[in-house]
Amino acid sequence: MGEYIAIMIAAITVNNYVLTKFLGLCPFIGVSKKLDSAIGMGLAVTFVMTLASFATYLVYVFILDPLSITYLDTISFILIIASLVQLVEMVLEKFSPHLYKALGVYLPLITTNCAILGVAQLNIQLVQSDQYAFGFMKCLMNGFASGAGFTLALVLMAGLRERLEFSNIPAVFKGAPVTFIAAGLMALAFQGFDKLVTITVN
Amino acid sequence: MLIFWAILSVGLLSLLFGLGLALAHRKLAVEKDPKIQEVEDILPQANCGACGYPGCAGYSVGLIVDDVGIDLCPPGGKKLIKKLAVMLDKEVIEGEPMIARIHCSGDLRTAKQKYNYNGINDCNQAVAMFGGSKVCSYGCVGLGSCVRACAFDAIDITKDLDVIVNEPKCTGCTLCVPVCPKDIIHMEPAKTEIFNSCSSLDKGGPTKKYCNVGCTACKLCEKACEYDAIKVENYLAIFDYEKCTHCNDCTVVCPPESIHAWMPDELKSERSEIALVDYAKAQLEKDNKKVEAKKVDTDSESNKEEKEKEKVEA
Repeated sequence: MGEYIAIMIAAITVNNYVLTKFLGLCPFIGVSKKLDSAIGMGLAVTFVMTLASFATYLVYVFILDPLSITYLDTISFILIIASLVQLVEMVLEKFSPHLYKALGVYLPLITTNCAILGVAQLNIQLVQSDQYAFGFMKCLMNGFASGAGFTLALVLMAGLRERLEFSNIPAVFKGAPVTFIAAGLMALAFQGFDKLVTITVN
Repeated sequence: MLIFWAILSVGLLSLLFGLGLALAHRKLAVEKDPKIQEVEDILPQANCGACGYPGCAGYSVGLIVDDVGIDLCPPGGKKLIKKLAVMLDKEVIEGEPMIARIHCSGDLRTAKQKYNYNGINDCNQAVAMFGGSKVCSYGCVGLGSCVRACAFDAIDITKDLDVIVNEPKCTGCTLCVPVCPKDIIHMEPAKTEIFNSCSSLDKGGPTKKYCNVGCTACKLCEKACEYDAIKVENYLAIFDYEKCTHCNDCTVVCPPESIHAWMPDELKSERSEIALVDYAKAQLEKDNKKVEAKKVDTDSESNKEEKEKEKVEA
């Protein structure tokens, strides 16, 4: 159990995909204008990340590895992620049209969100290296926790930006520049979690 | 053998996902009004966003689902409103067609420059440098951000950076209005012809110093107008188009010719080419004079040096 908690903490803080690995910056800047759409986007990404960890693990362990065609991992992962995103899009359009509208173009963009491919790749590397006896459940946990970390970063950023809207910023910094500066400072703060838990592959 | 497995496994995987998605699409399909597609087909497909929706597809959804007005599409004009009225059983709304006008005609030849701008070719960038290269702080920057914003190729830029709206081509979509850092693009009724192509709120003297075509607030147009359609406010002649009859009295009396009608393409390009030749000649003369002056300087200096040398030798 302790290992699972360690994985969770590591994925949310030390290995936060946005703020320490700098993956998935497009939705991080694009969807963090409003708090509710940020939460929606975070949940969608978490959902896709968990499902992607699940599917990529199965495909890797039961298809790619036995046939020794592991060099095809990226292309098959992209295939899996793209199909999943399509599925999520359909589900959202059917059951939550408002969220579908709020996420807009960023929802199909999850397809090419490098954070999700990053999670899949990191999982596979951890499975291969076998340092932490990385199995199916741990992969799922890592995917879910990485999504949670992404959501956390997105929600924090959205909260910051909603306040930034009303603050007195010099004209040259208005809009994207001040957002980038805030993101950089947040990333700096997240460096403080370094060595809290070590689950990394180098 | 390896390549066989590779092709088979990835092919089967994609087939599986494809079938899964097709199934999901059937089960999770959201029923859409077939009218949305019909409406989208008759929209102009310019995707300019003037209606406030993301593209023509967005507006067609808005028309059917949100029941918004049928007069929001400027590029479609009256024709589209009539078509939509028939299709959606609504009354025809007679909106007045508008066009964009750039209220500045100062170019490299007519308006003085503070400095030579060699930066990024974008008006908003140039304005960050002391409000643009023109001495006039109200005038057109002339780098054509509006030209690039126009979805209908209706804004032209001449060789000496005069930006003109080609009025017959303008659809009144207002895409160019927010792009302008100087806010000098105004929407005006399309049936009007004459306008004051100056936005300077400076007094007559300063305006005259830095621009040959700037409104000097001399009030000659106000006096010439029989219909009380021109008012000079804040040192700028402003038209009341409800009273204007396009009699052209004001364009005749205007000393800097800042009040004029939109000019046809040929005339404008001819004018600018002539102007460009003049401008280039003037620049050449200036440069030549500078070079000559330098030569004289160096000659005299070298002479002095030689004389000094001779003195030392002596």
